[in-house]
Amino acid sequence: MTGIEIKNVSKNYGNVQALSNINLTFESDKIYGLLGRNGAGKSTLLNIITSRIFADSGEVLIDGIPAKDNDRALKKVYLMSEKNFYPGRMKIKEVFKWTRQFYPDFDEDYAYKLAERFELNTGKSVKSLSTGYNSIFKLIIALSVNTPYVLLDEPVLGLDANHRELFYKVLLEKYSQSPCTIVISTHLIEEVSNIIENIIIIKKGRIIKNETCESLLASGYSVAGTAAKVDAYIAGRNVLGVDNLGGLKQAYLLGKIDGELPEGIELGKLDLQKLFIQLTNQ
Amino acid sequence: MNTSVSYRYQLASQIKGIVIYYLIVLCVSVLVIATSTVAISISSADDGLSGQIVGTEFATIIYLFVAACNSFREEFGMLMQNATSRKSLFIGRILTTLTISSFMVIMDKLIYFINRAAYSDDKYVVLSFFDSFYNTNSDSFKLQITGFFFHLSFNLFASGLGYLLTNIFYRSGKGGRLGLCVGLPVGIVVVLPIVDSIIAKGKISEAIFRGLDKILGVSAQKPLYGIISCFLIFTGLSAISWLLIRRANVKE
Repeated sequence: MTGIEIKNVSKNYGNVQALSNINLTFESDKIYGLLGRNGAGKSTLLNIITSRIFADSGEVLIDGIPAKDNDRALKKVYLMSEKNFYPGRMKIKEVFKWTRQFYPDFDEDYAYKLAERFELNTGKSVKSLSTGYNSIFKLIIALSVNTPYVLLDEPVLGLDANHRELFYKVLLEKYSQSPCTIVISTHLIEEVSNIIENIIIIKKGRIIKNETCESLLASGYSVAGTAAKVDAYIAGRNVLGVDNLGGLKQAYLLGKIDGELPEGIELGKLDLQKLFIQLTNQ
Repeated sequence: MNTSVSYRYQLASQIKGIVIYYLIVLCVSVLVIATSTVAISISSADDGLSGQIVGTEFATIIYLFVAACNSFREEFGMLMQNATSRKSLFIGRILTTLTISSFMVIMDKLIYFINRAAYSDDKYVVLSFFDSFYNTNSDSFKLQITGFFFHLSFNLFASGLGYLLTNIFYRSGKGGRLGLCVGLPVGIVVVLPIVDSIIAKGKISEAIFRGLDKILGVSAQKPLYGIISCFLIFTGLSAISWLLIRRANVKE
């Protein structure tokens, strides 16, 4: 499997450039975080991969097969999108039944087990679900569909903390049992930072970062201590952000540690969210 | 290709509506038969009571048009969600239209024969949609087959037209939608008759009726003309629908 290759893809909506000459590869069996601010082009990119919308130029290959309106390529991908495209009158169990028809590898038994774990009533119709359960039912399908590529666009929208934790747990369980490529497009950066292996940051339709989570986090560090000591240390350095807690302070810095840390200053890891905000605010 | 499952899905999404439609048609038929039976039983021979049931199949044609008008958006979303190409969606749609249209012709024929059997009295005439066009009222096998294809071609035409309109609606912007929802009906129902009667002095409607008469072969008593015309129009409408679908984007 060669993964999903995105070659020179551009897309405009009127005068607005949603994607500009995107070149990207989602490799097999990796978990990606697709991060970007609202309107950065994340959903547009995912929709182009799955042929829900067409790019103005460029092409997408899925395992070497052109994806544009091609059943053979599209069968390898499942996109759970923010918007619900399942008929509102349809019951969840009917959705499961039909998904099995479209995706022969869909594991219906596993889907019912997950429904139990998430306390989703499969006798309910799609339109009767709350925002949170709407996300849950689509997540259950995404986790049971068994395609080589699963794209999740804002997967935890409306989910409470308990369900979010359960989702991340189930996602990792599933991934360890049968690895596949998972692309998570989200705003909740802190939550996914422990799951994702690779980070792609998209800004105004352009890819500004595409590297492993580890290397991105290694591009900086954090220091903590009393406000006075931290202020003295960070003076003249590339500061991403600062958190204050009473008389204590934590600062996030870009670059390598130069020399020894002064006494009373503790070294920590870089905060992904702070880095993201700094990168996307520039 | 996902054509087979696309076909099965689109067919399944229509079944409930068709069942409800025929339950209503059957109820209406039973009601009409019951009331006329009572009327016949209480009337005397010299009351001159008579009646006609003509072209009930026209209700099916309207049903198919309306159903097609409501069939695109939801099915498109569901099929796009489930890795189905536009090509598979469209082929599935054509196969669904052919299946449903044929099935409804058969159902209408059954209802027609039930009505005929119920009204054995000469005072009551039951005419099919086809009979009313071509002044036939015969049970000959050839005419039944011709009637089948005539009705089928009209069903296809109605489905094709409804599907094209819903596709145009889906692809249009706000102005286009307004034009389609308001402009088109107002144009046909209000503006055209006014222009025809005041300015054209009835020449437009005359030309339309003459055109319809020719393409349907009514005066010439050639049902084959009507069958071929409707099939050709259905093909043309479907071709335009395909041109719209192949570039359609899913709307978020």
